[in-house]
Amino acid sequence: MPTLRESTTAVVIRGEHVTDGFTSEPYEAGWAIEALLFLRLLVQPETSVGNVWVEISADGFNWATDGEPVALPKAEGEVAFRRIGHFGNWLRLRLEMAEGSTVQLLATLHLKG
Amino acid sequence: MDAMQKALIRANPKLSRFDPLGRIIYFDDFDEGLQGWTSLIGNYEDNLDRMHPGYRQLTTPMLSNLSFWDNGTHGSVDGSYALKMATRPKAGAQNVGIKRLTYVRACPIQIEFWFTFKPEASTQKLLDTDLRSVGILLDLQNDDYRIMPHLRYLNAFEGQRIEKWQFKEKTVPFERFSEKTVTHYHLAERDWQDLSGERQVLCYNEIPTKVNWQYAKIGFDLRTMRYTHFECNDVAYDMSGIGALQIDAMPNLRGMLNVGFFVESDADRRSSFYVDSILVSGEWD
Repeated sequence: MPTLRESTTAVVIRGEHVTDGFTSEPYEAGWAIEALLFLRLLVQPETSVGNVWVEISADGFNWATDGEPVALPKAEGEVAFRRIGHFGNWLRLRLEMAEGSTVQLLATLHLKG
Repeated sequence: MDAMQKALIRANPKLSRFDPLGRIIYFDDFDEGLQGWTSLIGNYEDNLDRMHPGYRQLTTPMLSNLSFWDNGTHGSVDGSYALKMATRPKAGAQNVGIKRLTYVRACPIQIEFWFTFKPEASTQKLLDTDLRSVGILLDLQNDDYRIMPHLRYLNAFEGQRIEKWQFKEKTVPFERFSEKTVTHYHLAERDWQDLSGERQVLCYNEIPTKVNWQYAKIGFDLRTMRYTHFECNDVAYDMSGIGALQIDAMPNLRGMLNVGFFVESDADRRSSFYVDSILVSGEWD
């Protein structure tokens, strides 16, 4: 019987109404060798212009950005994603949006290791 | 439990630190993964915005190797990983991890677990009052009632060390979303009562990046829906007069056997509850 790898989905933003500067709670996943981030808007926004930065950390409270940002979906039903590898122990997301802009966002990390 | 079964359990290094009843319903060592432990989500209809704010704050549990900025990885009792529930960085914030089963017999059950807790070490202070509490709840239903035993170790409250185990037996009002869906926030900061007049000092250690693992054991009888025993490390509590939240049976929950861990912060800093392993056992032939 083979030993299967661990695989889990963490909901890191569960329908929160996010604005510029919002950060998700740190997610610790040092056991995982890969992560896939999915982004989906739960409600059609008036405007959706913004980016999501993936951030990594050595300790869970001091953060560095990793790579280029992911553009937010433009409309309800559209899915954006980012493949993430070699991230150490901690992951979080940071929103960069136009002032006054807001979206109701679902962000999930799909981790395997 | 006969002598052979007892000898087998005691000879197994994974099980020897537990004291199970005759049947092991589940044994989760978090070195093996999350094993069915998940986030608690509140009830809602139509839009997540309608979820009770108490539930909206809850986030997904993690597998942690207890790594700290100043001393590296701490690891767990007999490996690297533990189940971790962390609050948001706000006084009064809570988080919950839960595993959902149903019971096959109404019988005595026992829940044993090895645990520790710490605030986020984001400042170089002792932080011994930053974490409010860690606790465990059961969510059970038989033909007549839904019963929800709650126990917590109140480490600190509003900046003062308390160090007492508490229980809760009063229900909170339900809110109705629709004909079919209701919610109630049973973890609200109200109606907690001391289990005993005595403090129980748990080993916190001397800085927030040193952890010591602790043991707790809860006995509950699914036939009478009453506690039978509770021990934490070397202290046993008299549970004979201790009740649990009880409400009329709800649709769709018959036979429920849920176990949940929860953590509460007492400061604007994340608090974390770590569980190395849990063994749930029952007594039936």
